[in-house]
Amino acid sequence: MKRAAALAALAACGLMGCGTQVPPRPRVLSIDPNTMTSSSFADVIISVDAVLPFTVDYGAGKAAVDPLILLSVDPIPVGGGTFEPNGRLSARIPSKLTEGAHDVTVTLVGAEGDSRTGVLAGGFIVTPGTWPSGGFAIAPIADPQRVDVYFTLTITAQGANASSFNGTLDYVIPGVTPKPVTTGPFTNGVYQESLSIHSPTMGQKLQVTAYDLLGRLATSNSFSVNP
Amino acid sequence: MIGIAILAATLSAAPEVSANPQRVLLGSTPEVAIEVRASNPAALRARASTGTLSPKELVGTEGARYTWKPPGARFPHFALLVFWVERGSNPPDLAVLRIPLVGRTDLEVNTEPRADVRVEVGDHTFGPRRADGRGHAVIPVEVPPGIAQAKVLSDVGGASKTVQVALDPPPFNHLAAVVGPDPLPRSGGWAWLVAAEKVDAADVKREASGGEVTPWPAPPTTYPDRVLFQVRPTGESLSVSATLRAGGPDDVATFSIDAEEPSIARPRALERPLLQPGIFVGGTYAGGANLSLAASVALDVSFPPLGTAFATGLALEGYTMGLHRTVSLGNVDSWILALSPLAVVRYQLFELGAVAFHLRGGAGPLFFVHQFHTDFSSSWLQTGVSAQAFAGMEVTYRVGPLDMLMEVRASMGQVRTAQVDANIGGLVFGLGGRVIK
Repeated sequence: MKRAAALAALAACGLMGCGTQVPPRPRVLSIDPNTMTSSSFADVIISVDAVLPFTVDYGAGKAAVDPLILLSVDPIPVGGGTFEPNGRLSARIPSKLTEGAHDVTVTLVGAEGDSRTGVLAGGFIVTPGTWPSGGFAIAPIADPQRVDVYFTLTITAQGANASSFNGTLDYVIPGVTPKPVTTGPFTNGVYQESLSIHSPTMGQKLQVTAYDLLGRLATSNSFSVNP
Repeated sequence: MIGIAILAATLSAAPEVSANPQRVLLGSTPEVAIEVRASNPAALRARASTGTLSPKELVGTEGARYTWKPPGARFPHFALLVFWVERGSNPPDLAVLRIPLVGRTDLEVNTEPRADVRVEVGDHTFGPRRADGRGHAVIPVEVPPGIAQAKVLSDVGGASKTVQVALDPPPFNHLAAVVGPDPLPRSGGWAWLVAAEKVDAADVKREASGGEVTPWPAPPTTYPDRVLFQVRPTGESLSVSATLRAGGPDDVATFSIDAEEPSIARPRALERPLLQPGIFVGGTYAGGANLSLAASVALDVSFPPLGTAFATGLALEGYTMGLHRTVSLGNVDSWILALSPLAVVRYQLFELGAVAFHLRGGAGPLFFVHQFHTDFSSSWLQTGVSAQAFAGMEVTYRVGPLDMLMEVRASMGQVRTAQVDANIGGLVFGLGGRVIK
């Protein structure tokens, strides 16, 4: 059947002319589940149909396929960054999306500049969430810390609905994290993560600042990191 | 069956022939039954110098039967019936049946009135008949071939008189020729000249067309009544005809035989354009995994002034190649199919017998399709067009109307896109055939 298709393509090529072509855009076939509340997270499977960027060099006897693939739900990057066999890609969508329909976008990353993009418009729906009424608090961090020695970051939801919060936050440590870090999901209003700092602060103090989708901040105490 | 057996004494392979009757009285004997014993009756051949020989009727595994009917002529002569078993290009041993054809005539004699008249013809005596009052008598006689005179004996009143009378039989042909094998190989065959009496090889005059007829250099055996010749077609002739003469002016034997088609029959000149269809299968290699199968159909045409030494035409060539590799995600397969309509020219450099050497070149577009298939993501077909050009050497070997060919060529045929880099050209080798007829 495939050979027949090839022959048909060749016939069409001969009759109508043909030239260099680019592979088709990737397609986002589905996202499952396709909805969550704004204050929660979702582990989803995004099904993608894609001709991955590839090169075949008969002279060298080599074939290469570039498996890099970027997924995002509107501006939020998700997923592990590589293609999975059969096109079923796992991704976690954090609590960073406002209410409404969001586009699911897949972008191929080819070494030869192949950056084809496919979009499932409005493919993911975010419904209103239930946020803790008192925001969040970061538990005290011992001062000083030592380089490459793990300590625990504990963030706790505050106020009404605190114990039912299972979403995610972002946090930053100025001078240490080049961009915001998204936490894992809270468990009954509490999130804990082991952290270590890889370089001393040389007399300066560090602070952890966490924030939610609503823009509410929680800041830790100051601490230094000694060699 | 009453008959005589005629054996070719020293030739074990000669058939054994018997005839009944062994003497024919023209106008009276309707036919002669002939039986032949041979080791291989299926390969038995026969020829009669005169009269009509029936088709062969096989009898068992070692025999055959013929019926021979005398000719309409009434003058005395010999019928030479020749039988042999064909055995390729080697000259066969013959069995020769000489049937005397006896003529009957009324001999008018003028002698003494009331004389008793007898006529001696050879060993036979006819009469007596009594002459009438004017001395006139008519004696029916039978004249075998080779008898030119009769002796008339008249006896009246105890006085006898003998007179020689010329019978004046018309001259007849004493020769027959057979030739084989049929068809005649290009390397040649044989021809036997058979005479009713003796024949000397030095006296045989030969005229041949389409070939040459020469004495066999070392005959396996010799006979006083036979001469063996070699027969060979010449040039590109498709038949050989010859006339052999010996003895009198009426002693003529002819034969004609079709020859096998020459292995070399490339026309040097043509009356009209000659189409030459051909096919070609082979492979290409351009390094690495650039290894493809190739097939071609072509239609060349040659024009009158140059014969088949030059041809031009069109060829449609197809190529296929593939590559299988395993990458981190799984297996990938690349497959290329290309078709190329080409304008081609061919020029024959020289010939060596059945072999000829040609230069051949061509150019044209190259349409290709590339299929990329994986077991982990979608497949994709891409098409493109490129160009191909080639030049190479072709060696052909003539077999009848067919030129078997072997071609080696250097070819450029890039298949290149943003995704694939391949070459269906490089060194190309192929085998095929072309009809030139």
